[in-house]
Order: sequence, then C-alpha cells, then structure tokens
Amino acid sequence: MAETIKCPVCGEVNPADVEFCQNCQSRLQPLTGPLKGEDAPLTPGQVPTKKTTSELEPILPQWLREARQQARQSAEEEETKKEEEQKTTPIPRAPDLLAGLASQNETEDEETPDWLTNITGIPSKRKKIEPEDAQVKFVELRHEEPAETSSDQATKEPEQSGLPAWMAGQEAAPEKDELAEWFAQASGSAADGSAAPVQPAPSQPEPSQSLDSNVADWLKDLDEHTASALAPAQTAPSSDIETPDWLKNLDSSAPPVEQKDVEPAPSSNVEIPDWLKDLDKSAPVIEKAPAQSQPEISSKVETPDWLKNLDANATTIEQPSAQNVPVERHPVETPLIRETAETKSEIPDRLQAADASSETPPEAKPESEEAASTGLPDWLASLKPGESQPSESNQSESVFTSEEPAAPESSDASAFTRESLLSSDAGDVFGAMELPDWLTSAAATGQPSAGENPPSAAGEEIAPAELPSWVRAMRPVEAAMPEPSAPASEGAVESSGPLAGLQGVLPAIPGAVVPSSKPKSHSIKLNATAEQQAQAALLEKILGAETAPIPMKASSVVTSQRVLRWALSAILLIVLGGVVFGRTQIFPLPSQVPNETSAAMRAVSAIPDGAPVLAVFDYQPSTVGEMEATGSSLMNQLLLLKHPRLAIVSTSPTGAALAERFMSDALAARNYQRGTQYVDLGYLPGGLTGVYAFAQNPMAAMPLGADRSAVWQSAPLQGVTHLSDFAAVIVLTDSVDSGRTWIEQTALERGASPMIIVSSAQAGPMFLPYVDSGQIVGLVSGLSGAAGVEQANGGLPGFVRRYWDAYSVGSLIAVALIVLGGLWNLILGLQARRAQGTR
Amino acid sequence: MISLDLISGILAFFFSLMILSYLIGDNPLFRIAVYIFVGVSAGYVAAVAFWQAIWPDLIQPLIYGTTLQRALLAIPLVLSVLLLMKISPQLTRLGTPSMAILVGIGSAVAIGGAVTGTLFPQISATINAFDLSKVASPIDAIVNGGLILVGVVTTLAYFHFSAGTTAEGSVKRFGLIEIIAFVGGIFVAITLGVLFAGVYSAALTALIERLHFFGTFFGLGN
Amino acid sequence: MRYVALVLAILTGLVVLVGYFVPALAPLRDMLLTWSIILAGTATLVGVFNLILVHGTKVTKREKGSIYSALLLLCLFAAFIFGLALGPDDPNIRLLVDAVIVPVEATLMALLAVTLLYASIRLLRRRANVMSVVFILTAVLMLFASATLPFGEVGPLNDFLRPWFQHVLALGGARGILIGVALGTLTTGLRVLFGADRPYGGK
Repeated sequence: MAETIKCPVCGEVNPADVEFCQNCQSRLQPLTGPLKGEDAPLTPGQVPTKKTTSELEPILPQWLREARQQARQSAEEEETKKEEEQKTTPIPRAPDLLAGLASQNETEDEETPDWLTNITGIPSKRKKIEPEDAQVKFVELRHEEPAETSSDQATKEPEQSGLPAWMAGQEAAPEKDELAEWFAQASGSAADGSAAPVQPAPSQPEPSQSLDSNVADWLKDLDEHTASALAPAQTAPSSDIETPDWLKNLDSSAPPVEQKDVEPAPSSNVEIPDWLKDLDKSAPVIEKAPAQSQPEISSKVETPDWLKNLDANATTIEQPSAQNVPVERHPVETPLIRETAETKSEIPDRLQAADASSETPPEAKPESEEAASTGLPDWLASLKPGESQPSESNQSESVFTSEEPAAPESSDASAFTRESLLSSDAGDVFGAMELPDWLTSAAATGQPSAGENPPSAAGEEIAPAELPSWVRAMRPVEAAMPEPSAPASEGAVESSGPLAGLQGVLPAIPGAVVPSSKPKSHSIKLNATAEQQAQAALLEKILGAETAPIPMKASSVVTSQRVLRWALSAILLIVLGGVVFGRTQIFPLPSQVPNETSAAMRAVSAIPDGAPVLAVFDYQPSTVGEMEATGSSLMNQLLLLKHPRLAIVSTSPTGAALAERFMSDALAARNYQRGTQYVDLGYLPGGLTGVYAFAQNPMAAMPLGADRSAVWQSAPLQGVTHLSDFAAVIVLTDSVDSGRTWIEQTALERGASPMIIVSSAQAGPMFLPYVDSGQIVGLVSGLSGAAGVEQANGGLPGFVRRYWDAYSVGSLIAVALIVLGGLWNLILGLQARRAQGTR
Repeated sequence: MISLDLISGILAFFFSLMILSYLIGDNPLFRIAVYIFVGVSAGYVAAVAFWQAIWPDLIQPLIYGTTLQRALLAIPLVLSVLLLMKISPQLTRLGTPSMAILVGIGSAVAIGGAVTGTLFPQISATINAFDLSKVASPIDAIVNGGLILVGVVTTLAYFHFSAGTTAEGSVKRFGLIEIIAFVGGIFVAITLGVLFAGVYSAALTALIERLHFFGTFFGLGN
Repeated sequence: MRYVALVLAILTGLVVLVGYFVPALAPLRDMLLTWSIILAGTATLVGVFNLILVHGTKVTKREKGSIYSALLLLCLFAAFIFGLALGPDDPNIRLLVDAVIVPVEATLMALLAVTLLYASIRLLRRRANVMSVVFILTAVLMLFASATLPFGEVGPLNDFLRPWFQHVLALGGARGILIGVALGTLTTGLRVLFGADRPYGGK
C-alpha cells in the first residue's frame, strides 16, 4: 500500500490514511469494509415474502441469485438473534424479499408493477391503477396532499393520462437523465456528510432499473452500512408499512443509531412488507426530526411488506404529531424513515421497516418535501436524504457515461451507501422518473429539505459509472439521451463486494460539478470488452457470410450446360426423327412376354362374349401417345375377340374426350358405335370418394352419361346395376394414385370381376405388388409390355410396332449417354471433391 | 370447306412446335402456348364439371326429381353455394363446412381403401410369398420371397425417421435401424431406378408420338 | 363456424367409415357420397373461378405479363362459354382437346425426355454415393433390357435379369412404399376424423 494516495478527481496527493481528499473532499477510502458485513452482516429473513415483491425474481441475474442464496445462509445464523428482536416489535417478521422472488410463481405476475412490466417487457396484468397511483404518490411524496410544485404536477399529469409512473416522470422532465442525476445528487449529499458520520456515498451502478435484480447484494451492503453510521432519519416505527424480510433483516442487524428529532408515526396505516417490519424490529429507537414545512404525507399509500419490515425493525422514534413530516425512508439506511402520526398511506413494508430502523436528522425533513414533489417511487423518495447532509439538487454530472469514471481504486465500496441514498437532492434526481414504490418510499423518508443542503454538497459530482449491459437494457428512458456534456473520468474496477467486477460504479468525487438548474442528459454507450468485441466481430462475420450473395455460376458453366441440353435435344430429335420419318422396322419386338401381360391377356380371353366391361380412362393428355399405343393392343384384342359392351368412365375431366379419341382413333378398326356398343358415362368427380361412390352404387353416382342421356337404360348397360355386374374392369391409367384408387375402392364391390391395369411405363412398377397379391389379374405396362400383346394379336398392326424402333433407339441412346456421361461426370465430381479436400 | 380434323391438326402442330421451342430456351411462343393451354383447359374443365357433375347430380334432380329428392338435394345445394363463397376472401369462412364434409368423407374413404385395399392384401401377399403350394420351387419361395420380405421390411425401416441424439450432438437413427435402413435404401434405389426407366420410357414414347405426329402432318410418317 | 366444421367432418367421416361394416348405414352413406360428388364438382368450379380472379387481378393491375393473363382469360371464357353452350361432348368442343390440350401436354411430356436424360447424366457429378450409383445402374439396366437390338434381344437380360429386378427387388421396395403410403393415409385420415388435423380451415 502506498504511503500516499492520489485523489482521482483533483489529483491532490493525500496521506494514505485520509478518508477524504484534503483538497476536494472526495472520498478516497472504500466503503467495502462495513458493507462486507464486518460490522453488521446481512441477515435477510427466511420466511417467503409476499407477492408484492416476488415478481422481481425473473429479472435477477444469476450472480444476484447466488448472492441471495448466500444471504439466506448468513441469515440463518442470525435467526436466533432476530427472533429476540422481533419480540420487542409488534410487527411480525416478514419473509425475505428475495426469498419471495425465488418463490415467485405465475400468479404473481399479475402484480407486476407497471414500471417493471415496462422494463422487462413481460406482459402482466395491470394493477389497479387508480388507488395504486394515489398510494404511490403518497409514498413518493410523503404528503397527503402533495405540494403543487412543478415536479409534482409533472408527476400527476402523466398519471392522469394513464401513463406508467416512470413515463410520467419522463414526461415531466423529458430531458433528464433521472438515474444519473439521482446518483449525482445522492453522492453529492452524501459527500457533505455534515450530520451523518458516514462517508460520502458512492454512486449506484444501476439505480432503479436494476433495483430488483440488485436487491440481494446492495441491500446486504446497505444493511451493514446502516449499522455502521447512518445519519439520523425520521422513522415511523409503528407504521403499517409492510416491509419485506430482507429489509427487516437489514434493520435487525443494525445497531442503534443516533436518535435525533425522530418522529414516530405509530398511527400510520402504511402497509409495510414483512421484511421491512423486520428491519423495524431490530432498528434502534429513532427520534424523528420535527417536520419543517414539509407537505403532509399521505398515509393511505400501501407500502410493500418489505418496507413495513423496516419499520418493524426500527426502535422507538420520536415523531412530532402536529407537523406533517414526510416519511423519509431508505431501504438501507433505516433511520431515515420519518413519518407523521397522521400518515394514512400504505407504505410498502420495506419502507416502513427502513423507517423504523433508521434515524432521521431534523435537517432531512425539508428535503423530503422536495422529494415529495418529484413524483418519485416510494422507496426512492425515502432514499432521499434522511440524513443531515442534503446535497445539492442541481448536481447533474452523469453517472452513466461511456467514459470510464475516474473513481479511485479504493472506491470499491457498495453503491448503496447511506450517503448516496440519503442525499438530499435525490428527489430532484428522480423527479423525472418514477421508480418502484419501495424505492420511492425509501427515498422520501430520508429526504431532507433542499434548503438545508450543506454547502459541502455543492459541486459534488458522481463519477461516471459503467453499467452492466443487462442493466442498461432495463433502463427505460435514457436510451436516447445525448452525450454527457462533461466527460467523466475513468472509474476503477471494483475488486470486492457485490459490485466486484464492475467499473466505475462508485463515485470518486461526490460533488465536483457545478450545480445547474437543468440536469444534463447522458447517453450510454456500449462499452464492450475485448472479448465481447471479438465475439461481436465473429457474429458479424457469420452474419455477413449468411447474407453474402451467392456468386453466380460462371457464364461458361451455364453455357456448357445449355450446350449440353441442346446437344441432347439435337441427338434425340435427329436420331428419333430419322427413325420415325424413315419408317424403319429394324428392331424386333421382344419375344419375351411379361407374366403380368400374359395374365392380362388370359383375363381378357376369359371375359364372356358380349359381356359388359367397364373401361376406366384415367390418363392425362400428356401420355395419350403411350396410353393409346399400350391400351390399343389389349383393347383391340378384347373388342376383336369378345365384343364386349363397353362402359367408359373417367375420373379426369379430360378423360371422356380422350376416351372418345381412343375409340375413334386407336380402335377405329373395331368401329364401335357409341350408344349401342359402348357408352360414355363421362367425368366422375371426387377422386377416391367418387370412385368409392361409383363402386357402391354406379347408377346413383353417375345417373347420366357424358351426353346427358340416361345411359343406364341403354343397350350396353343392360342388366348392370352394380359394379360386380361388369365382367371385367379395365383401368387405363398413367398414374399410380389413380390406379391405386380404383384398386382400393373397388376391392370389396368388384366381386369376382377381374381388374386389368393398362398403365404407362412410369406407373407400371408400382402396380406389380398388386399383381403379385392377386388384386389385379393382369398388367400391361408401357410399350414393352404392350409389345407382347400386340404380337399375340396375330400381326394386327398397332402403335407398338410403329413406335418400337424409335423406342429402342431412344432407350439405347439414353443408356449410352447415361453411361458415358455419367462416368465422365463421376470423374469430374471426384476430381472436384479431391480438389476441395486438398484445399 | 376446311374440316375440323385439318384445323385440329394445324393447331396441334403449331402448339407442339411452340412448346418444343422451349428446348432452345424460354421464349414468348412457349409462354403463349402455355397460357392458351391453361385457359382452354380451365374453361373446358369448368364446362365438364358443370355438365357432367353438377347438372346430373344436382340441378337435373332438382328440376325433374321427386319432392323427396328435391328436399334431400337442398342440403348439397346450400353446401355448394357456401362452397362457392370460397371465391370471395370476405366470405371464404362460409365455405368451411362444405370443405369439412369433403375432407371428412374423403378421409374415411381413404382409410377404408388403404386398409382393405392395400394394407391387408399387401401384407398377406408378403407372407404368402413363402407358400410353397403357390410357387414352382421351394428355392424360389425362399430366395425370392425372402428378398421381397427383406425389401418390404427394410424399405419401411428406411422411412422410419425416429432418431436419437449422439454424444456429438448430431441426430442419428439407432444402430440396428440404421443398418436396416441402409439395406432399405438399396431397395428403394432399385425401385426408383426402375421407375425412372419407366418415366423415361413414357417421356420417350411421348416424344416419339409427337415426332410421329409431325411426320403424319407432313406426310412423312406411316 | 369452426366447431360446426369440425363436427361435420367427424360426423360425416364416421358415418362413411362405419358404413364399411354396418350395412344399415348404407343409404345414409350413399347419400353423403353423392353430396360429396356434388361438392367436388363445385370445388372444381371454385378452382376455375379462383384462376379467373388471379389473372383478372393481374390484368386490371397491369402487372408484368398481364398480356399473357389476358390471353388466358380470353381462352378460358371462350372454352367455358362454348362448353356450356354446346356441352363438352360436342365434337367441336372436343376439338379443343385434340388441337390444344393434347398437343401441349404431350409435347411437354416429350420435353421431359431431354430433361431426364440431362439430369441422369449429371447425377453422379452432384451426388456420387451408393444410392445414386445403384439408382443409375438399375435405370440403365431397365432401359437396356426394355429395348431390343437390331439382331434381337440380349437373352439373359430380357429373360431373367429384368423380370427378376422388376418382380423381386423392385417389387419389395414398391410394396414397402405402398404399405408406407397406406399407413400414412391411415394415420392422416384418423387425425382428421379425430379432429387433430383440420385441413378444411378449422385451424
């Protein structure tokens, strides 16, 4: 340790053991000692807290939850001691605030306050705004009828317009950086420290937005600090404010403090959270300072349990009953709480607890009036200077600047020292912003009048602090603030305490800025570490790669592909055209007739002469050439040998027309006459449903023919009423689905009638399982299948023979091109892969 | 007088030529042919749907049917009108019940057909492949029936997509299933190869038919 | 409306499904099937009208390619009007099929031959794995075996290998695919009948 220490603010060299700078009165020594619990360890309650505070749990960071767990463990050790203290106070012990956070459930989301909802973005059921606003206002202002100050009006107006509390504050002072100002003022007032035997308060890294998530640590520190040397504050020991356990515990561990003009508020109806009641119980007797022209505090405000606990932990407090004394509360510095006897408001328990366990100096009362007019959240209002060291309200140096604050290395104390919390001008800082109830109440109770600001507070400044990113994200209003006018000095990285690892969170100089009437706004820049920047760069690189345009293929590649297509087209067209136009018949028809084709011919031959046969034309015009070539051979055989009465149906809208084309062209030689030898039932809509309906009741499904005639009374359909009345069902299809539909839907109704499939080559392989299972008796698939049928027709000329040479040539060309081209491309592909592997 | 066949032939020739021009590349002639084809097809299908579906099943019975038939057909008439509301974006919800009936009936029919027409018969056929009384030789029954059985089982396993997460975080099927699925993949590849050959044969036949048409049109073909 | 649709889908589906096994429900089932045919015909009209709306919008908004849409609408209305007036069974209307629909579709199918050939040639360049090789080899074998040579057939290929591939190996795979499709149809249909899936717009 060096013999001397250099003031990080003014540069003055001071002896190492000096706590404040001899030149600028800036704090040189850290506050971590007492905050660590050396004097009064944190003793949070063990009972689960009430819902009013537990909804804060989700936004707590992991490290804070862990800290909370540690706090619980330490609290268990102090439990015995606390119980004794609780016996002295009527307010029961309330659960720990953070314990309540841990036990948060979904139903508690309903009670999420507006400001929290706005911060977290988690939708929650809206609170009952009307009574809540009034209570909040009381807690904030410590008045039953708040003074009609400008800031108060600014707070009221947004509330009337239904805006969130913090938005109201923002509207009232849109250009304010409330948090920065508050911290500046808080630190400034703390630095004065005329009435408080404590060190100047370092700044809070994240004031209101991070309150919920920082509760465990900083409250722990506050508790310890409260025990050390809190400024006198006004407390309301018998207040009804409900205080959460964690604040009760704070109080319980706090030793008696100086009782100076503390006014007890026994008749206060403020509801204090349990944990604040605990604070009250354990807090020493505090005399409330007489009210000094302070507005009367509205005692109707409901106080969270944790604030009540503060009251409960407080010792006896003197409180002038005739004066309207604002309840000055501080969640940490419990003696600050001051409340009038006629206070009817329901103050959060934790605020009451803070009240009870704190001492409020008489000078703090006027300050609370100022805080009351700012529309602060309760706990922040009470955080305002209950101590006798009101700070200047015009301190505007930003706490949240992008630059590194010039905090001394030794300033690794907690941000929530009582000095900062008790600074008299905290209300001004928060004038433009509404904070949570418990914070507002705490500020209000400990707020001295502005007129009593000690001169030492003037010019004090909170060093810029660097907020964690998650805290910044939670800040609701400052995002668009301009750059700070005055660059802040760099702050030291906290090495211990709950703020360990944070940089510049504690002010080195509480008041070094010239007060100004208009608080300055400060922006928050992203202050990323090198690792974060590296990760960001990596992410940017990845995103860039994702969004980078895919380079177009080289024109040579596209051209080669096009040339290949042209070449293939030319080969096929020229060769096949030559074969077709040359009328060649070089290639013999296959001698081998497939088994399924032979079965089809056998089935045809088994059809009785002149029997009704159902012919289903379920192919598309695209395959008309193949289907006519394939089907004509079998149908020719059928018509030639058996002279059946044909009934034509189709599930394709164009099927009827294709059937007519088939009968008039492909079977022109048979000269079948429509109406006498065959009928066209036309289009059967509905797909498989239509087929099933037709199978169940053909006459009902298709009562009329394609020509709108009563076909069922015609000669071809004589005696046919059911599907099974047909001697055979021949399905000409190019689709697997269509053929499968006819197979499936007519399986039960067909009876003994055989089904023969004449299919395109593209669907034939999928019908083979049905042939194998016996569901269809025969299959003629493609030209190769029809070739066998045509050969069996005794030299009857057909399409197959006409197409066969071209078909064989085309197939052989395809084989050759696929083999050669495939091998060539395989080699190229392997080479490309090797090249990529080499790279 | 120009016959319909001649007009049909000329139109068919030019339309075929316009479509074949796509071999060179996309061009306005190809687009014109396709748009005309779609328009003609849609108009023809609409006429067919009216005359061969709506008229015989709905309108004609409503006009000439008995009172009972008319009363019963009032329901599909209303449903059809509601279904036509699908055309309007504002009234499309009114067509939902009609679509529901279509889908409900279609699902039931599909279930019945799949069970009675494919599942049971195909499973039975797979089993009966080993029926020695229906095959020429026991060796064929064992070899071919076994291959078919393996093909069916492994193909089904190939489409079994349940998988677990490996230690490396990758998703992979279980070991035995993976092996079976690989064998199934071979069978699927063979089946698709056969189908591909069939598709090419169909396309090739269509090309031949078109070339034959050209030859006939110019008097070159037979 | 949503629940009405759900109830209708389930009710009609169950009636038809139970009708497979309970003959007493046959009349009701047949009536529902007839309704289904009517609705299917109407749905075809809905599809055509939707096509008119789409291309009509393009024409009225003078979007790119609206001239083609106008041509489409002209042909559509002409075919529809003449089809309604003469009936689709009229020879003059069938001329549309013979002169326009068949040539265009058949030629498009013919183009597929070139496309398939091109794709099969480049397949191994893009994906040279076991399945691709098996696929290509099988296709080549089938094509070669389905054709004949000027001097005749390749005996073992046509007499043994091709039938064996088709009736044993491909049959096994095809049957597996068909059973898989049937299982998929079964589960999908049951989901509809249970109301789990509502493809008719019931969410």
